Amino acid sequence: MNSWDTVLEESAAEVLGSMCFAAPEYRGSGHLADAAGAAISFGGEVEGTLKLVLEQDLAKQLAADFLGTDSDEVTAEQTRLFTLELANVICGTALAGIAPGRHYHLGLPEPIAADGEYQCCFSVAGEAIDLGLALELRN
Amino acid sequence: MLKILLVDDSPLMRQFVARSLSMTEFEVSVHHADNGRSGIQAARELMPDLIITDLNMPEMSGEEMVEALLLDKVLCEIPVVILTADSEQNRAESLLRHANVQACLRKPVRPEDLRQQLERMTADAPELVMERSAW
Repeated sequence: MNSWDTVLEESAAEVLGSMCFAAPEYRGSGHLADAAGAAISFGGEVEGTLKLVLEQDLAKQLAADFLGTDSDEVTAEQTRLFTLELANVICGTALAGIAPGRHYHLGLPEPIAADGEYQCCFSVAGEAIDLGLALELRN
Repeated sequence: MLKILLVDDSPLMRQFVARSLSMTEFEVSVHHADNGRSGIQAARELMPDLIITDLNMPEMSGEEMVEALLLDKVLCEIPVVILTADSEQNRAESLLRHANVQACLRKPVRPEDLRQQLERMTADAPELVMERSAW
């Protein structure tokens, strides 16, 4: 596990804990099939993209926890918006640790489908549900 | 009652912040706008006691909105709190130099952070609510 992975792991744990009261368990690298998520690009002195994919049952549950409601009441649109916001906040948190003092700006998060291996995967609430992140830095 | 305008392109984040504000001991009425342009329009109509705004938004960013508010002789008096996922320190420091920006908070924000902002705001200007209500 390199230092970026450590920052990603800590960022995901901090954000999921603060936003959704979840305690993710780190599982190393992995590959999620049939999952959807969000990607957010950033540019400036550091450039790259952070991708996040997660199984939709988890996304729905986390969205419910974020909104303080039951998952039965969470719509597909709310789940989609929550996933975008989650990527946005994890990216900002991770960059604070990875590139302190550098100039950069975040783009707007966009929906994606799972597309390969991600270096940081998690379980949430002990279920076979994964959260994957991939980060690429240029410059 | 404190009138608060939330400006964020994510309706979920606005809902989260509104819920967090309702969990404080302050009586608040929360109003919403989804970008800087609609935020300025809402501010003009509502004259809120506080604007809490995101930075990265389509159409007009939070930074552009803060600068536009400063150029307006009435709206320039409304205090603004920045709430953003963008963690770049220089950007935050630059924004804090604007007279109307009271604080920059980083997402994920905790209800406690918002409560502290409201406490600080009402302690610094206890007459604020009364004045704005009278308008």
